[in-house]
Amino acid sequence: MGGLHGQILRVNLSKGTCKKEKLDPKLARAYIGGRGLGTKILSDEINPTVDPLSPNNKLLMATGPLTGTNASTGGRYMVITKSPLTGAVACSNSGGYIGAEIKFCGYDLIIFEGRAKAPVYLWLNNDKVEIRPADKVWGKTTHETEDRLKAETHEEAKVCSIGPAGEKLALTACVMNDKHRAAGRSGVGAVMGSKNLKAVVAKGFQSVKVARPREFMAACLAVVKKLAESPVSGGGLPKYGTPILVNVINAHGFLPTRNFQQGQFEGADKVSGETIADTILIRNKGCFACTIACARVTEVKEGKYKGAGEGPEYESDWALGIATGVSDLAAVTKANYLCNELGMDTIEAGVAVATAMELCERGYIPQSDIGRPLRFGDGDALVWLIEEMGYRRGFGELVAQGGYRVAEKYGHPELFMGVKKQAFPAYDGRGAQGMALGYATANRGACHLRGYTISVEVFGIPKKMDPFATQGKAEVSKLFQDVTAFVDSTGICLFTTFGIGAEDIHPMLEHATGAGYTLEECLRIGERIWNMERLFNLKAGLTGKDDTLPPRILREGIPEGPAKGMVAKLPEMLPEYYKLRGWDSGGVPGKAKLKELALA
Amino acid sequence: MAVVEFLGDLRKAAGRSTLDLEAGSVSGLLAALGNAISVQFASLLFNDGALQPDVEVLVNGRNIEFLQGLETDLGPTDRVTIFYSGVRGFPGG
Repeated sequence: MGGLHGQILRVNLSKGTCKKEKLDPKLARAYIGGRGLGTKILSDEINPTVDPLSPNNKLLMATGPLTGTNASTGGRYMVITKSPLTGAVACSNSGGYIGAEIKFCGYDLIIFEGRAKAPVYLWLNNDKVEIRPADKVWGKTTHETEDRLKAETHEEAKVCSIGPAGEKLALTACVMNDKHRAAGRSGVGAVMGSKNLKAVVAKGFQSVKVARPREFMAACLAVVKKLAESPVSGGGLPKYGTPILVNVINAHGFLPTRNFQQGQFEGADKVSGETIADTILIRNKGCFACTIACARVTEVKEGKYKGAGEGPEYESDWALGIATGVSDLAAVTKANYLCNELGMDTIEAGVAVATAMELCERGYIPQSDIGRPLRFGDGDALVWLIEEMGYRRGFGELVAQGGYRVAEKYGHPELFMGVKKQAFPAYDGRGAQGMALGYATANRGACHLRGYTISVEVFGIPKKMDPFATQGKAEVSKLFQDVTAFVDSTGICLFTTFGIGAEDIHPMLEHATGAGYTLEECLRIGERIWNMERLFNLKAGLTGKDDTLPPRILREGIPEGPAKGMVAKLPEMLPEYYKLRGWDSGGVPGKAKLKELALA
Repeated sequence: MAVVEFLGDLRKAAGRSTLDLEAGSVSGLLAALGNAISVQFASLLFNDGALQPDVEVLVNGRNIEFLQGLETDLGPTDRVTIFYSGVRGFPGG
């Protein structure tokens, strides 16, 4: 199949061995690559009841057929494992350059198994592989790690790594790459840390061959044109980045504020995309082969939080700012930079801090446990706690485990705002009903990316739907979830779907692979992937009871603003969603559905 | 007076982020922007009795598509938010 090398690298960290294996072409055909192929291999090779931080868990880094090609945004890779945060399947997607570089070394996918006796890193030197000691970088930030390992290997090498957070098995830990990009969610960094695997460094020179080069280029150029013409991918995203959403979502009244206690933030404009563009933004930046370039290169030029880096993006800006009530952009930006350097998911970290803040303000956490006051709106406390979390010291040791564990420890798990122990992202499901359903049903826990109904509920892409209404949301959620699973398997970025559809991605995929995919089959593969993830979770012990939302979201109306009084009407949407999925009333896929999807 | 809030590039185009304006309806308000700011600015949003493509208008956080459209009434304490769903650049900007 074109677009793939047909080669997997299996790294046994316990034995210190690396083995090149053939990728089964039937598997590649059925699951495409990336999220689909990686999750399939994980499902086949581990017991879903495994302890995620044990050597028996596996960590995969998977690329897609379009990774490393000329397809716009064709630089994505996925980190796939069983999550220690949720106990469910984890699949975290990142851009930057490491995905393409792994491909240039000749691998479609890397499987890490076992646990090294001492910290190591993997050096992919084109077609050569070495497991090298990482003692000199263990304990270092992701930025220091990247600089040192490039000096040891190749000045143009690309690096993904964990920071101190991952080394210390923080459930908020992520895998950073190219210093500022993250495979963020679900604690995947802790799994890497549990294997004593500090980093992967890659430098390769092998091109990715496609099946029909002329037709492929024509399809790619058609996509580039559409992306440029789209007001989102060709206008808003490059100019303002995702933080443009702050004022938009705030105006709609469902910007979750102070741990979801309110739906509007009086300080929103101070941390908005417009303010970022006018103050700390240096320029935008793109990932490998990206023609959108939504990343923000930023600098805080003066004051106690002086520094440079990238971000904050919308989710980070929200989690570290609005969720915590902090409207000091310099503090929010500093906290964002720290998360990148220490290797933490900004969403999980920010919501963990917000959870702690609410518990503290309600008197459930004694100040003596923390060591200092911790209140909403305190930017200094935010920055302090993020650093403590990154090194898992003092009060930060617990908070680094995520908001659920903090709330549970202090006797109020209902104050954790998330699903399946993973924190909500930056849209209150009470005001956007499709997001409420998406959060409850996402296989990896609360996630905005799995089925981004904000597209229809705010932007009218491809059609406008009332965010307050439940009608039609089950159908659109299922569709978005299946399409997203397909896109995540190809190796291109989900943000392309602001400007193009599956009907535009399909020709690129088909001409790259030559596999004979139809558009219908691509969407069916997306549904197959979704159901496969569901089966993994059921075997891991999750049930339909986990497809729920916190009591605040189900029963307490947003107290003020445009969405005043709204609650998430999940009971109205979930049965219809299960039915559309071909699942029973407990959320278990039926035999007929599994047979239809070739999963039985 | 209704408060009009501009988001994204519309702020640059309008030369401000908010404006107080008296109008009885959304269509009246959009037409009044021609005097309040400039005819060129108003034409970015509204032309021949219709909203320009990709322009979204909220009244008190609700998209006018789910209210009475351009004929949605405005009261003295209403907040009107206008943004591009794609946040396009201002022509020439």
